[in-house]
Amino acid sequence: MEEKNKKISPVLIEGTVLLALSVLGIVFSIISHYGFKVDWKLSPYLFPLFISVMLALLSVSLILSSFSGLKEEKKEKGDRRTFIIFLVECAVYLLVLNYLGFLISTMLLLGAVVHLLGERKWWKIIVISVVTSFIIYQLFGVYLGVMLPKGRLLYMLGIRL
Amino acid sequence: MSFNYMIGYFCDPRFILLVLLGSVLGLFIGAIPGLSVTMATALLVSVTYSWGTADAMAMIMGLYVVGVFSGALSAILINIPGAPSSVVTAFDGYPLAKRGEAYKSLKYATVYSFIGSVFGFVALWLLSGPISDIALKFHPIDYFLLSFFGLLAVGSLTSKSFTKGLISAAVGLLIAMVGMDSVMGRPRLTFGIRALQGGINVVPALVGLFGMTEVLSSIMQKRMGAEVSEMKNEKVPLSGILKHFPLSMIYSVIGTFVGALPGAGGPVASFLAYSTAQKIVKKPSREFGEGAVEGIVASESSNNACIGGALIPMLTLAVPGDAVTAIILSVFIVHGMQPGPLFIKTQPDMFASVLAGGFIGCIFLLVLGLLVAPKLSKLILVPKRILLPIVTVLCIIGSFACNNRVFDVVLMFIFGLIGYFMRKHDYPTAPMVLAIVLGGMMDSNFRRTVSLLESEEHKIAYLFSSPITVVLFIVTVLTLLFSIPAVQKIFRTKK
Repeated sequence: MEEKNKKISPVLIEGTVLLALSVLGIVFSIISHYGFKVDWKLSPYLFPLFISVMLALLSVSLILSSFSGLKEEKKEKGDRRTFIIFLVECAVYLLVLNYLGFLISTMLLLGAVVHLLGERKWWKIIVISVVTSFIIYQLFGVYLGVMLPKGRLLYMLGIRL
Repeated sequence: MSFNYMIGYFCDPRFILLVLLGSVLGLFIGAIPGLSVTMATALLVSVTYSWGTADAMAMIMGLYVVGVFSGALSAILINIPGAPSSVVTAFDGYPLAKRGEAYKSLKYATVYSFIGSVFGFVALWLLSGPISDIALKFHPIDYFLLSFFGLLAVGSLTSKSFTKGLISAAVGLLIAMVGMDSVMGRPRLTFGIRALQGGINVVPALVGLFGMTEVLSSIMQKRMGAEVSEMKNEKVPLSGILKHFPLSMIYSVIGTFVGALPGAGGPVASFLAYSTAQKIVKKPSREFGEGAVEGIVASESSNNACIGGALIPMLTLAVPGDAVTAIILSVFIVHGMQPGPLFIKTQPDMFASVLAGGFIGCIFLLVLGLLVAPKLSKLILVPKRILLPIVTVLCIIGSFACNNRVFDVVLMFIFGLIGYFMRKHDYPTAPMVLAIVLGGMMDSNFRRTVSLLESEEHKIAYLFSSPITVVLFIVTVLTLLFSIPAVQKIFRTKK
């Protein structure tokens, strides 16, 4: 029971983080304003300062509400492992996108994510990733004229897609 | 004048085809739980980036009108609303489907969505002119107050906690400040990152906050699986359906009015219309909540009438009524147009494209709803393990396409994560989106007001010299006051 009481409310943590951010915003706006050497009425940092002050007041209100009983509904923890692997896969995709090009990177990403989300039949994974990537590449890259990354590595190897 | 342009669009096969394409997309996307109309519209902004504005508008309007309706399909068949606006439809639609009357339920939803949508667009057509005339008298402070009121309303209506709603809006405003300052032409809040000098593009922010957030939440929660009701092709006489037409007009008025209020939108309208129906319908076909068609009529006519309503403030005042209209506003902005009081006069063709797209979308709603929707029952259950990766790639390409740079894809993922954590901790994303779209306008009007005040001797008298300012100020202060929990408590105890 005691342990439960000791646990800090997430609302309090959120409020404190937001308050810290808004104070940073206020300080940053004031310092940046003086760098511009113009009146406040013309300053680009007038409105950011106004919002930061508002955010600070709202954060204080959030902190106070955490004491008066505003609690977040308990939610299921969920599948953290899949979530993190998905993010890692996306990060790797962003890193290799410029080297492997859109088509190959997207095929790999699609295959990896479909497998991660539970599809175990290899032929299905290959069909979904290859067909979808080609359709999207054709639609956006060819018909809609989006300049999709071609892939530096492929270019160096003499492969033109 | 817009009527002539409208006739032109009605006779343009290309325009009609694009509306049809948008409508078909809307039918699928709205019906599949987890894919929202807002998300699809955000993706479409990036797809239609290089198109003509009328073409983009045709597709978006088709998607918007049919997408809002087709949320009812999954609400009726599997009791999972495809869109928040269809939550109330599930109250009576699903019990009716369980009794083996899914087709009847869907037919009522289709016909009254059509009636509601047409009502909303007629209201948009008739009311936009007079509202624009009033808006011409607006001062900079009025625009600032109106946007501020919009953010307050969205903040208070989309979240259980008013504070959290406003925090979301404030953070959105700060995000909107990033980039080159419009008055001084100097970089602001860019932290030395060159890619941020052009500002944070609305498209990756929207795609991230709606599309990627949905993907991340679904992956974390692993939600899937449901039982689909059988769709039998039974005879439902049209005379029986149209019996409720007079009442649907009341619900449509509610829908249009609520839609025009910033932030309220479809879910609020359908709840309000449903509770009105419970009061005014003395003898429903069945008890409300157990399969009363009157409940479906109320919900569907009001949530679709919201579309026209939400477009009124967006087109005349540049203040969107909901998240989708905020995105539509960004479509105009990326195409170099600025909705506002002069929009109807200076861009009558664009105003007509919205109206024509809406009306043609209504016709496709009726056709697709009656002929295609009954056959879609199996498609609703596309496995998420296939759907989510495809949505991920669409989000990536959607954010990349707006500027052809990977930096925007990174931004999209960052906004996806922000949206995910906001959803997890009960912070609504709608105020943030509205703030990102309105931020620039609020900043320039705020600074213009401050500059004007500086040169005035009687500052307060000047500030409240216009009756519009006084009304907006009172409404804003009252909204702020009545959204504070302590004030609400006082009024509740007094009752």
